[in-house]
Amino acid sequence: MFLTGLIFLPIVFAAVVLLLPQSKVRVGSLLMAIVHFVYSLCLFQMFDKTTAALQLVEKHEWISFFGINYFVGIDGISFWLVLMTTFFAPIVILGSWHSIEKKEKTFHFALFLLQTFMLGTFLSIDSIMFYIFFEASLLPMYLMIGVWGGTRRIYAAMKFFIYTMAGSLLMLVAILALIFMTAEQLGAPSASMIDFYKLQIPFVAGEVLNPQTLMFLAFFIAFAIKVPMFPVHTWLPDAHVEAPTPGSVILAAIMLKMGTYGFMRFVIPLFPEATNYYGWFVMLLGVVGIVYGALVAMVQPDIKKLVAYSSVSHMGYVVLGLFALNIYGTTGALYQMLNHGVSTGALFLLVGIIYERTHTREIKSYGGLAAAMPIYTILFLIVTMSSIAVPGTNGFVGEFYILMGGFLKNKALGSIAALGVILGAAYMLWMVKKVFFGPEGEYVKGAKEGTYNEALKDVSLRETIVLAPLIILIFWMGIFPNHFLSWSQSSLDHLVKTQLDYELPIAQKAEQE
Amino acid sequence: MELGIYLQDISLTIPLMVLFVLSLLPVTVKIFSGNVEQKPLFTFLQAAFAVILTGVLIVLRNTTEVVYAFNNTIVFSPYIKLTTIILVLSTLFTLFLGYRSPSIPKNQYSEHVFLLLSALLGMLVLNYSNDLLITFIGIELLSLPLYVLVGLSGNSVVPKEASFKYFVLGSFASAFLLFGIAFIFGATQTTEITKILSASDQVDKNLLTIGIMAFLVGMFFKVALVPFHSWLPDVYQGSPTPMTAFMATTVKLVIFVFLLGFVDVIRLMDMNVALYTLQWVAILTMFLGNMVALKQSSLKRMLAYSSISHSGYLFVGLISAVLGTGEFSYQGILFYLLTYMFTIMGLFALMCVYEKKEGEDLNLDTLKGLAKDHPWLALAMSIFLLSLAGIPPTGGFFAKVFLFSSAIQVEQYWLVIWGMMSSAIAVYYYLKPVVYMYMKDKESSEIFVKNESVSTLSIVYLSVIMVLVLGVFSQPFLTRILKTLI
Repeated sequence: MFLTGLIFLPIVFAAVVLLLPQSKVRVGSLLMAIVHFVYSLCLFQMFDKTTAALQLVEKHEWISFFGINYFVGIDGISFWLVLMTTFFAPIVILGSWHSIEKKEKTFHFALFLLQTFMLGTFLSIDSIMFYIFFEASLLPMYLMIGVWGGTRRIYAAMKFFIYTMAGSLLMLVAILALIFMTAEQLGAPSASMIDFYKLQIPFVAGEVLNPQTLMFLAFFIAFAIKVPMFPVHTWLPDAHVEAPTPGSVILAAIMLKMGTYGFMRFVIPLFPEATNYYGWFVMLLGVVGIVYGALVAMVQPDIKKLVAYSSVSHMGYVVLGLFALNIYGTTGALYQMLNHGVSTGALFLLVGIIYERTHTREIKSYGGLAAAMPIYTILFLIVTMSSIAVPGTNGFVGEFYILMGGFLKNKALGSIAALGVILGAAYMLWMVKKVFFGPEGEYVKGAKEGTYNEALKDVSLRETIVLAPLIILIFWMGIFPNHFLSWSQSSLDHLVKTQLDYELPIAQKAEQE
Repeated sequence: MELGIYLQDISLTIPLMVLFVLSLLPVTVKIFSGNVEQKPLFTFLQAAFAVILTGVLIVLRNTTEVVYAFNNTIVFSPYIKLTTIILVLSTLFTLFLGYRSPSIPKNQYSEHVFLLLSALLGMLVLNYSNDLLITFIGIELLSLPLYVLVGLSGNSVVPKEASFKYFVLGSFASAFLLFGIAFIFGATQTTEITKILSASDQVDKNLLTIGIMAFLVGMFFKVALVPFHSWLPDVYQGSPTPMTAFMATTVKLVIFVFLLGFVDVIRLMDMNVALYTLQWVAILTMFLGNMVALKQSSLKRMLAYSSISHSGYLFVGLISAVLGTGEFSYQGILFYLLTYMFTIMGLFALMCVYEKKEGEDLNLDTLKGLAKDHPWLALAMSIFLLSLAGIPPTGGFFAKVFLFSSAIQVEQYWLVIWGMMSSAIAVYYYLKPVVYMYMKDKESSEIFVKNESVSTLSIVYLSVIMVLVLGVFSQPFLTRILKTLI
């Protein structure tokens, strides 16, 4: 019952939000989100980190003739993603205290619905259930971008929805085909991932029209759009720029992870031969994403767009690590998923803070902000350090593991990715220089002349409270990575081991020839 | 061949006879009271009584096997029982929508009711038929009242034009049906469906293929599959909204239900030739419907094109029923039809709620800012649209899953992939009304006026609940459908 409670509690909260009086909505939903987070912390007590098996499993029959069950469970891969989902809810609620001015009730309602759908995505073991949650999570985010977004919000929301939807429809076809395959090979139709793992899916190397390659492509495209990987990333900058701050934070911190989580859950274990065969190409796309994202970020005049493109670059690292298919790469990828959530989430919150004051995100209109907002500057610098992976911060650990794994697998790609780190440092530091140090921009000048005095206040207590947990995490995860990784270790080992099992026969065959 | 009417023949058709007699009641009352229109509530109750009584009589009849009557021209089976109940239910909904609807002239309400009940009778005959001639009679008995119902509205010219268009093209379709029946008769010397099946071994396959194809073309006209769809947008847009709802749900339902029972005959065609044609009809229908709907600004016209594309999806299911062994595609199609019925009925009921006067066309622009004034109705409309788009957790999602999985089962992967791609396109226009309701503010400050008709609103809310229930608890419905197959 624990996981069911975890998934569906936010729906109850969403209903409660509708009943609350207008003035109590914010406080009420903050409290409920904290309750939910504390509830999820019980996982530390209940979760057994020594095993790779699914835990806290619940299974009930749902649509029996098709083998669809209500089937939830948690393992080391979903463990941190679940906690991160519940962790960010109170943060974005507190972070958007003043920035959501209209339809507050609907906003918090959508936020709680989104929580349920995201948790459902991470905890479902049944593939149809996974698909339902995966798809349903688009709706609240679509509303968030479309209702509370910027000037081009409708365009961005539509693009976001249709891109993701179009990708996942082919995945649905593949899931249905897999269900029929279980009926054939295992005797009874089943939509559970566990049964999918047992399948022998025919694969022919070097040919596209065979079941495994086609299904691999269907799943891969669906998740690649969600991640997003180059060249299907174009919805992301639009969505991020137009989304309100809380929307951007959730989108970056959690929703993008659904894609990489899908890689770990479906693509790699389900299609081992195809993953091995096409892995280099996916790694290549990841590296292209790293470099491309960084280069485009470098020329962005808009801070938020810059952070959005940095997301493309960072998620490229995650994909690179995952498809390196060794323990370093996989560990690094999982860690980088959390890092990216924390640091990019924090960056979006920070951008939101300054946007609330000046209502512009143009880099060139700032400049010399360090003098006007010293604490804000320090916070921003710390997050920047984390984002560019300075040793001591969380980003370093993740990127180091990924580069190690990538280098072991493919030296050329590993090296290019390592160069990408420099590009990453370049655009972030340039931006920091222009915004905080460079020549004084119109706002700082205005503040000196008294025109913008009100606008450029330093961070308030509320904003500090919002950012403090993230800053603590940045250092904690950077200095004691084992506190976090130990929970996922057995699952990651298992994931890589099954991969290696498949690699062996192929290698042997090559030797024989 | 022996002719004669037996007691079991009569008992099988009691619901039809009762419906026929009761359908005359409202007009008879009107004529005998000096051609003065009775109170609408009175007429409405008479009609509702007729429909409900018919439904109850059908429910009460127990069947566990296939029963024939009237010299094998009429057939009754659990499958027919279930589908007939759905038809009766959906007609009852239409009756609710039409009650005090501004688009139906008040002084002709009893005629409206009479025609609606006659159409229902036609549908029952069609559904019960085991002989192509009875099928034809059923279709005509359904179509003729429908032509009038479309045009039955005050002084506006548009519905008359729609009615005439529908009549001309519908007659054309009837001609095709007869043409097909004649060919089938030429090939097999019979019009009885069960005999056609048994006679098929020693017949001229080409003649039979032409006959069945021509018959199917007639049916394609009725459900508007491309390239026989051109009548539909104008007719849907021009008709009074309750009648549009009726055509989009009940009429489509009955034709697909009939075709599903007819698959054994369709299978007799030379599949090497025919399958290719059928696949292209399905693909073109899905794409054309969805592509043209993208550009529509009138809500009704958009739904008309969307209805074309849904015919295409259903036809994919029908193709898999033709190719496969049954069960799966039966479940798929019937579940789809059930979900589709509730969704479309609810959506058109919602449009009735916002129609203030006859002939008013609901535009996307008029929806601006609706979510602010009527949050619940806006939510209902969003749920319907999401269900049409096949987005979970609505019934439309599972409907699509089951339908397309039946096609996967018979390895029609390309059909499924085309279908999925076209539904990805469709998401754009299904979300457009949501954009207008939630994300745009209206220019004027005037508040939306809604029709406080309890009967219409109750259909809206009932449909919403059903769409969600079908999305979450589909199991009992599927079991029910499976039980009817013997």
